[in-house]
Amino acid sequence: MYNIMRDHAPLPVTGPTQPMRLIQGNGIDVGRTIRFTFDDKSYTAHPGDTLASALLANGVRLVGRSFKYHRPRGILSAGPEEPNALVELRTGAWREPNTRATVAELFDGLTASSQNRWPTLAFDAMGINGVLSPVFTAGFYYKTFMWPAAFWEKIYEPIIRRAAGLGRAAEEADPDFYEKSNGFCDVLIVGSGPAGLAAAMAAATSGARVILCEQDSLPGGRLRAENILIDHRPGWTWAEATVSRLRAMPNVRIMTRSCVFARYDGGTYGVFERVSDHLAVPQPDQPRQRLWRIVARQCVVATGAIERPIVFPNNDRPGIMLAGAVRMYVNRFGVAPGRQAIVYTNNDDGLRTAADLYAAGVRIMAIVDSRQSSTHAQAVAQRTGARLFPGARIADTSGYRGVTAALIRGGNGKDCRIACDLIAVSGGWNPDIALTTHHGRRPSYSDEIAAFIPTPDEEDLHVAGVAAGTMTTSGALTEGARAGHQAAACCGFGEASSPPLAAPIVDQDESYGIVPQWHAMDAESGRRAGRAFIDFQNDVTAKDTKLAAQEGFRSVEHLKRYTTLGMATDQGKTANVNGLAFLAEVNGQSIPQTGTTLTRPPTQPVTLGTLAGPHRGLHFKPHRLPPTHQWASEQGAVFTANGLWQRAHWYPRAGETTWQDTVNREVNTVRNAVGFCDVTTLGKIDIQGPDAATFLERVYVNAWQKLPVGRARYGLMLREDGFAFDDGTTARLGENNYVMTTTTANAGPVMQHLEFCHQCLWPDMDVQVISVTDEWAQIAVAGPRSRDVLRQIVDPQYDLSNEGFGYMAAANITVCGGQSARLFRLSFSGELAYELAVPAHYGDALARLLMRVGAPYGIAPYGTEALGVMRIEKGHPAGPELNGQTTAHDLGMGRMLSTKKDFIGRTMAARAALTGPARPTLVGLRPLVAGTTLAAGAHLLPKGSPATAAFDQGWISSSAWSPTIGSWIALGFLSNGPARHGEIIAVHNPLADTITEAEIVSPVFVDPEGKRLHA
Amino acid sequence: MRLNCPHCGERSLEEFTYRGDATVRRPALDAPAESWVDYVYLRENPAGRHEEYWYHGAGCRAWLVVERDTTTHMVHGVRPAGAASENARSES
Amino acid sequence: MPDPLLPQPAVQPPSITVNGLTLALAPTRETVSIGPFAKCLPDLDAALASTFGVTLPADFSTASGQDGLQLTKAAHHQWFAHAPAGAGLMARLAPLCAGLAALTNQTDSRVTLCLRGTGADAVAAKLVPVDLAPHHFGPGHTALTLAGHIPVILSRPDGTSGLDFTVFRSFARSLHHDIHVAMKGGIPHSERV
Ligand SMILES: [Zn+2]
Repeated sequence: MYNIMRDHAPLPVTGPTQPMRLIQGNGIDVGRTIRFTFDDKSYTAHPGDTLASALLANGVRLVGRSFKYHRPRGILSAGPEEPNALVELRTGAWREPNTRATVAELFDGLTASSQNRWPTLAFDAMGINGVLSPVFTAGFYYKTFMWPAAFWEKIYEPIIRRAAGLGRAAEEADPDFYEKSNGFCDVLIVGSGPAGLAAAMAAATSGARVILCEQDSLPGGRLRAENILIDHRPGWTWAEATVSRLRAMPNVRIMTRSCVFARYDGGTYGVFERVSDHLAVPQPDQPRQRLWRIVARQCVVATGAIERPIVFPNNDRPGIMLAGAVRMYVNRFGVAPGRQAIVYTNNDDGLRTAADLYAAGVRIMAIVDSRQSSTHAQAVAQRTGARLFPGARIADTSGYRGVTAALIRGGNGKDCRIACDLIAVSGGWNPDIALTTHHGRRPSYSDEIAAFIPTPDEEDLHVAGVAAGTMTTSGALTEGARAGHQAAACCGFGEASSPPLAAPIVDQDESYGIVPQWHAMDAESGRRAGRAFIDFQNDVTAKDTKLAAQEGFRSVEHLKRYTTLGMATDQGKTANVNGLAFLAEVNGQSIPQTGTTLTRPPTQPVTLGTLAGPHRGLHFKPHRLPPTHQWASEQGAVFTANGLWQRAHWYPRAGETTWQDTVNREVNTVRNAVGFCDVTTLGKIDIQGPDAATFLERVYVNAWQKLPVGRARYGLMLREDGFAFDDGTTARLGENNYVMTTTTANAGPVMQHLEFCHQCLWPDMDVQVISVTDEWAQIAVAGPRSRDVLRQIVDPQYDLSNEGFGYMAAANITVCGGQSARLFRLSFSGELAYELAVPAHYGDALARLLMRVGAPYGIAPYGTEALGVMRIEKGHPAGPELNGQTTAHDLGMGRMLSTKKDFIGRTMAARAALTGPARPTLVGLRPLVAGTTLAAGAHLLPKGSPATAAFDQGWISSSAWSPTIGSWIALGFLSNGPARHGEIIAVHNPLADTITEAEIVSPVFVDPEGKRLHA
Repeated sequence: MRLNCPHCGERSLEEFTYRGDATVRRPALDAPAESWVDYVYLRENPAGRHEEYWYHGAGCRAWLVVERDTTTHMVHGVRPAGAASENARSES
Repeated sequence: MPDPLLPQPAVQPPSITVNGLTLALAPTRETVSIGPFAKCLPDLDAALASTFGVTLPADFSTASGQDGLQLTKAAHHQWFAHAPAGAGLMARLAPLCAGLAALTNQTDSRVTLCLRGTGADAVAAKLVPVDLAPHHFGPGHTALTLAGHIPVILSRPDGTSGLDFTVFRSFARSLHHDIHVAMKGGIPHSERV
């Protein structure tokens, strides 16, 4: 049974294995024992423990080494603000560095180890850094490493990596699974302390949809750390009962182990849920962690506060802890963090630690109260038998691997040395306001509580309880209920004016009475005494802060960056305000004058695995599969990504030793017999309406009004700035019905462009556009025998002869005895060729059929590589030519631009600089020696000129080995290109550092007369 | 960030594509070169409320005019582009 | 003359079951997109009403008419008409809508994956960024949105618990994989199912 205030008794322990364990804690199950190891040593603990509480229960105080100076460090806090106790959890691929022991839930078999120590935690050779400390003072990164850059890689970085660092990431891929989810609610409540629970109950009772997020595994917040009675029972039991009632309400969702780490625009919140971190290994297929995006109409921030230390010399020894954390260990975890305690405080709240420790059987050696006279302190000292030092401070501490004594400098200036193994420090509480500042809202400084408090001015944000600077439990309950009620009313639930639920009764109001003492330094300690740490994790000392200010870094933003104060993984949760106070003092300013830095998301570390979620590896992006994908896989095709599409790159056959063999064979098959290729990926857009032709005239540079039904035409689109955007063929299938094709890469952007033109530029145009890319499986059948093959498939009533279905013909037809299809006589390869489209479900069957009926003609499938080779052989521009920097003129299509109509890009394309002959213009290139590689990206220079930018005349955009020509060939852009056919030019590849020679030729390498095309 | 699409309701940012200033109007074909340069290249960069084009590409495919405060990120209104008024202004 | 072409489903196998949830490929139905021409909406509605007893829904809901016709919004100015396979939908709509609307066959462009079972909403919430609460997204509601990175038409069928994802055919296998993974991940602890 929980004991509120037991009479003083010797420290009760559960047994020799956990020497510091008390009989009971409200958050642990002492009935069960679990095992864990820390630095290869085995210990016992109980379910409900954190790694920190378990280590303290076992008397382990030294848990890590500090970042720069490798000073021995222990556990400072009992929550996510922990700067010191960073450890590696688990092993192998599961090894996770920089984990805060204070939030790591213990499970049976956990393996943990200390980090940033070498060779061992107890003996650390790098402790010598302390001697080298001048090197590590403020701005050391900027001052020390000014020598030649070559020194950095070879000398500084390896040294710093070993000397100053954090843990080691696992070397294998993360074996765990992560997922994401979306949540929606009326009222999001952050925190399940008294304010959060009261808010949740008020909002939920009014009928609003509520999500309550608690970062801890258990609800209650500080109620688990304090001896507070609510409704005449321990506060934590009230919290549990309240949560049970909330859980029973259908409009409430309670998320534990879930940290709201960000407040984004529009009521969007980022939540990080630790689903399986408390298990040895997640259940099969279960996520380790889950990223939630929660959209809430209203939010109540009830995040409580974070205690700050007082800065004094050698304030970082293991055993020096935050006073509130000590109460958490005693009351929640049933752990006494020491046997002989000194409490050092500047407020009444710290005194509670003396009372609770005393009740747990710990001897209170002294109470150091920086305030001159406090009746409260006198009462507590009397009750606990502690020696009281009013108006005093701690001037120094001693003890190597843990604190053993404190030097107390009394108000009268007299020093007194007192032995101890625990110093519980309270410098006051900083409301946890991070979420309230994510939209850039600055907090204001409250003299009353000597801390920054939020100044919410947004309609959807409410702050309640300690987070708002309300320092009593009864105040938090009242304020929380009011905030929950108001938030629900803002969503239309309940009446804004009606009073919220009656607040529960609290046995007593806590007093606070803070009189700030930010540090315990005087002129003497500045010179002689040991380091006084402000930022424990980044090892930033009082001296560093002072030095920075002296060197002119007087703004808080400069101080932060120069000293790295607050820039560690804890974001300075225990350090920032102390740093500000120091800076203010050095600058002779008040804290409000000095200002504060704002925080950005995330408020706590979020793993990259969670942010990535299931989108990793093969599933980083979705894949689009053309209808013949399954068939192509069966053929052993090698695939390549084309945007999201997976396309067959080539189809290797037995005996082919390189991909080049395969591609050569595929090209030769098309040029000499017949091949086929799935071109479904080209964007296809159905355009209908009375103004369809006018619409095409506006988006293409060329004319469309006179295109007859049953014919297709090549079209070029520009951007409004006159540069080429996309190209493709568009066929007229009916009086007011066109089907446009786009490049694969631009299918989406062209659709978006057409919608923009229609909706924003010419909304009066009566036209409808819709994508049919996925509706049709479209297969190019190319080669001199393509007509013979198609004749086997196309129903006999359709005339396929050159006269009956000539180049650029288009028609709705039927195949295989009535199956509807579309046939286009188009050619990218330059051969006699068709594109046959069938509804997508039949694409797979069509590929199999083509193989069968084409076999007598030597048919073979070809992939995108052969497609690319053939289009280069024909000089057709593709992605590398339409790269956003080329004009119609550059592509040799200047004459396509109509002068009889308005079209997108017309005016800007006519600018003199975009049409001058000196612009690099499309040419073909052939090396003087056929086997000389021409690389895309190579620069074109006059023969014999130096390879410098001044002589640059163009570049190679595409190149390939042409099996048809028997040579490397290339397309490129060259100044005055068309006038220079026959000239020899230098080709400079700066990556390979080669200069070779090539002849400038027509970009059409194969069948320039187009005889094959029209066969 | 969320936008209240007049067709689909309130949706998250990832469903939309940003284009930019919605107050510019495409000049007539015979407009002076300067108006074309203005239209294609020159943009105001106001601190405060600003009308901009967004495309609900992953939703209803409507182009929208969003009035957004560039200093606070507050969205003050969303309406379909290409409403009659939109077109009328291009004539003026 | 070669044998008739046989259709190939976009995903295999047609149905999977994980944790009591089922993900199945819906039978192919005929789909025609309807894009009304300027000022033709009243006449179009009248024509549809006279033949099928239903008009184009103004909001994102499914309207059901005679002969199994269902109409849903597919874009801000376009609708999908669905009918069971073999209904000859295009042939029936073409004379009705001539001069009033662009009709485009979309039967093969999309496939529908049906997620069924207790917790379907919680699984769908891992992919879909819209509020699926019953009072927001009840039976007959549809939404044009994303499932992860994939555009979908999400709809809640009448009379059965679950959700339908209508997706471009080329994305079907990726979406199937993503839903399958979400099913295997289980129902979040905090979820009420
Ligand atoms: Zn929309």
